[in-house]
Amino acid sequence: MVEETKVLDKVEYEEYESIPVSFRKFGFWVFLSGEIVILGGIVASGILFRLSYPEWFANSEHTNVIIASINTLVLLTGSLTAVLAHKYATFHDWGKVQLFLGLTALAGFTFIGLKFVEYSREIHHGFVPTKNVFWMFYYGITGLHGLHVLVGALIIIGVMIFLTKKKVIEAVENAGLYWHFVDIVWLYIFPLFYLT
Amino acid sequence: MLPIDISEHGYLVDRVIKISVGGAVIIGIVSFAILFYMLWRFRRSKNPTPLQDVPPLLKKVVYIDFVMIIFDLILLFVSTYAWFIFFIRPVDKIKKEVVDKGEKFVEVKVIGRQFFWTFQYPGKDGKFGTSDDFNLGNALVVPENHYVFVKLTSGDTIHSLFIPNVRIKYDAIPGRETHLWFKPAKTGVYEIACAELCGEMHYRMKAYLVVLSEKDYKKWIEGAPYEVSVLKDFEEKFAKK
Amino acid sequence: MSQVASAVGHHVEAGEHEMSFIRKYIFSTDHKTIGKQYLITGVIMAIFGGALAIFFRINLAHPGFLTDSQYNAFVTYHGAIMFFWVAMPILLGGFGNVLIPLMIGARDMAFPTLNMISYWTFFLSSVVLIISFFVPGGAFSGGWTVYPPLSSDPERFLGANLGTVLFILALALEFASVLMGGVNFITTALTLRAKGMSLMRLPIFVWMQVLASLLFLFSVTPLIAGAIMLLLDIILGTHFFRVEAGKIGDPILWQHLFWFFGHPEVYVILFPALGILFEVITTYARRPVFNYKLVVYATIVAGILSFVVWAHHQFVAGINPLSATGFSITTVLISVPFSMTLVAMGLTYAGGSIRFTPAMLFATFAFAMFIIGGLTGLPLGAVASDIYFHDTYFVVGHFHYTVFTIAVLSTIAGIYHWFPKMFGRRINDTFGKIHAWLTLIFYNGFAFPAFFLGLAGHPRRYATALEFGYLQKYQWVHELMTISAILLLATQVVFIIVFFYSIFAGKEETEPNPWKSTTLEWLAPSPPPHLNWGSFAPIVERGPYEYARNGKDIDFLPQGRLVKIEPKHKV
Repeated sequence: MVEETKVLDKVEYEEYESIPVSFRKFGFWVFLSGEIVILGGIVASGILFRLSYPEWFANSEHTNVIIASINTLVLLTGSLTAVLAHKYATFHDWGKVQLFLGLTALAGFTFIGLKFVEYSREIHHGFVPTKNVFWMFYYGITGLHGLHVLVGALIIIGVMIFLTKKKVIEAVENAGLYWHFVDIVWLYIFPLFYLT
Repeated sequence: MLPIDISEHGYLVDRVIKISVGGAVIIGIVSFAILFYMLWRFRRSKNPTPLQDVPPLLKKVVYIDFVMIIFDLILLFVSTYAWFIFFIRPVDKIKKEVVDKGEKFVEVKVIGRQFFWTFQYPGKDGKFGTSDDFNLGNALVVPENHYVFVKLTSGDTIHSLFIPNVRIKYDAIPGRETHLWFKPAKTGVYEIACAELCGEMHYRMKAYLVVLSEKDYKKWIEGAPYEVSVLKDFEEKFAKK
Repeated sequence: MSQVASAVGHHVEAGEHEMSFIRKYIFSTDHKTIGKQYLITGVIMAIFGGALAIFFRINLAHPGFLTDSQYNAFVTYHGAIMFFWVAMPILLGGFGNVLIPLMIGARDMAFPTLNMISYWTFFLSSVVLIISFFVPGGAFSGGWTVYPPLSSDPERFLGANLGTVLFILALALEFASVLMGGVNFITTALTLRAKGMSLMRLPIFVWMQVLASLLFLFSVTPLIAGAIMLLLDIILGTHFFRVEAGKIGDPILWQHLFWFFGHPEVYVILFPALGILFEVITTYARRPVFNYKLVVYATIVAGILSFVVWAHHQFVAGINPLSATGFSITTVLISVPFSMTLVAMGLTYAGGSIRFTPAMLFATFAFAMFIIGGLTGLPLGAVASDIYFHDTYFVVGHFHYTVFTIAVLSTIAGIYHWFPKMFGRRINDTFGKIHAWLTLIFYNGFAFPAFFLGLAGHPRRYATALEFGYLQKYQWVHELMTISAILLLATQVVFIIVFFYSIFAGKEETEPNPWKSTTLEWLAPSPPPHLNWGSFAPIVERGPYEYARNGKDIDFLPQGRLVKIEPKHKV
């Protein structure tokens, strides 16, 4: 039902009523808040569990602090490269963006690789998920986190491919945001399972 | 519709049932009456032009919200009291009161399994762990007018001990022992059902609550084997047709 | 603040060339097509879920029709399908997708590709579920609530392992699909509204969809964690929930994780249905919502409260009796915001000029039946009466009067109401009225007696009542319920046939606003083209329910109007 022809003079194409956040960023935060509840919930149960059963957590001396420490550095480096990727995206230097995104993905795969080595050694020594409740939580939580790192690395590669077609700064920003989230979760997991 | 209540304290649960269901019915009927009135009064043939504002009398219908709040509070009060009597008071405290007041009680351990109930009795000496303990399958035999203290657990999955005529129900959980109690006030044989899906024969996990007079109970507990002959008549009466 | 519609501009370019059949109807990113895909898939799953119910009801009337494990499996799948593969996809994925962008004046959802992925994930979850029903080893048969240790111990019953694992995987896929949809709904409704559409001018339907998506987002995530733990228990033999001597494992933890989700979940499906009811009732009563702000705030409060009532499912299941008391208090009190919303809904009829179209009949029946459902929640929420009613047919009656009215009656009201908009055709009115009355009668014939069985102490999930003396005398009630259920399903099957027929050969409806409704979706053509508004943009000038504006020829003021866009420069 068109009543009149009118020129919308304030707007270039179409204007929307919105909360003061870009829709891509907002959508990503909606997704992230769900993830925070999942991983946060499971880590919180781990923490509560440790407070109630400190004797089970004596098992944590069998976890590999060295590999985990290297992994911490790997993840933090990945966060750094993700931030740099975003910075160069704001400068529209897309070549450097691809470089730093690639390094971030590399960090992710390095993390997975080291995790693989770590799990193999532990299983070789008989520390399987069914051994006792500590190992149940350990494999469950670090496994889930590792899955998120893997998915994160794959998403970064997806973003790199997407950026060859369209230059969207927010995609880089959101990828970085996801990486920071995975990083922060790790910073809770590391002391919980590796530092007695 | 409710099965007969043969316990001394079941009336507390019945009171909450009557208030909650009765209140729901009354509020429901009133709401429906108002709704029917509006549907009839404001149908298009009777009211072709919608009114600019809701008629003032009907605006008063919002008071139903206050009625709900008051009803809710009354219901909570009565319900919490009944719940307190049954489950909040620690069972050892109840037992101590029963002993102090000189009232009588028996103890039974109940284990739910797929698909039968095991009732463990302490025997003549009244203590568990002695040589005169014995088990019965699917028969909970208790004396009239005695408190019955139940320790309930499960041997496999979650079951639920439901004795309708005594208004008691609680889940039997593996790895946990729950303490319940009730006090039957009438003799007879009553049915016990499982009220938590536990597998294929969940619907056939039947046991019997056999309330004997004190005299008959003494006779029964003195002798062995502890068959429950009164059960045979009961089962015949209700045998599958 | 304004969004430059960069994403949508990209769509306009894409829309300018013809799309292949596959891109237009199968792998479409258009929210209307995706919505219809959800609707149709949901309706097909409803036939499957309904048929399962008929089979186990026949067993209740004539024991021996099914084996024991078949009975348990049918009951399990009926419950799971109705909640997750019928109610959620139709109410959220179906109506939400079709209507949210139209009602707010957007051209599509914020993330159309994600939307398409969400539908196909849902489709995959349906396929996995159906496969799980037919695998060797049997379907999962531990109740839709999946309580361990029954569900986690493979030796305990038929259908463990493959059937159970696939069932849980199907659930996980379905959750992922709804989460993706939820991200879209929340983002779109908050960031892509037409000019002039402030939050307090949103149609209640949109509010409800956003709140439902938020509830789902924050409640399902602990259950996803729990499902992973359960899968580990089944596949690897861990003992998160299994009880083994000397090891720590707690079956009650699963119950907490499940019901922490389970309670907000029922509001996830209730809110969109309430949204549909408000849209339908205002249109055919020609009156605005009685107190718009009250409804919005009461619903927000109810949504928040829904996170602290969950253990009313566990009053007699091993929780601390003191916390049970607390949960009973919150549960009974949550009836307050809901009674406010329902009173507002009822008073929307007051002073109106009510036209009893099929949509209005279904909506009114839904409203009335839901009152019964809500009130019968009180004997269950009061902890002491729940001792008696827990796991009896009283619960079955309560949840059918709430869930059925939501998932079926409100849905059908919405279908009759928005059918012209979605398909450009009408469903026959006379058929609709007969459909409504028959549904009401047969539905009550099957559901109302459940309360009496509950009062008699009849437990749930029993393949037959005949094993117990105190239940045998109620066998005639089962027969009555079964006959009513069969007639009810038969009526719905006829409706589904008419529904599909009307999509292709129903009477055409070219008038964009046949019901004279105020909201924005009625400004678009029927059905709306890709990107909805063509070279026009809707602007919003007033609230969403300006009815009873008694002017010369019309009694309502549309919420907005379309204005032609002349862009300053091409994007």
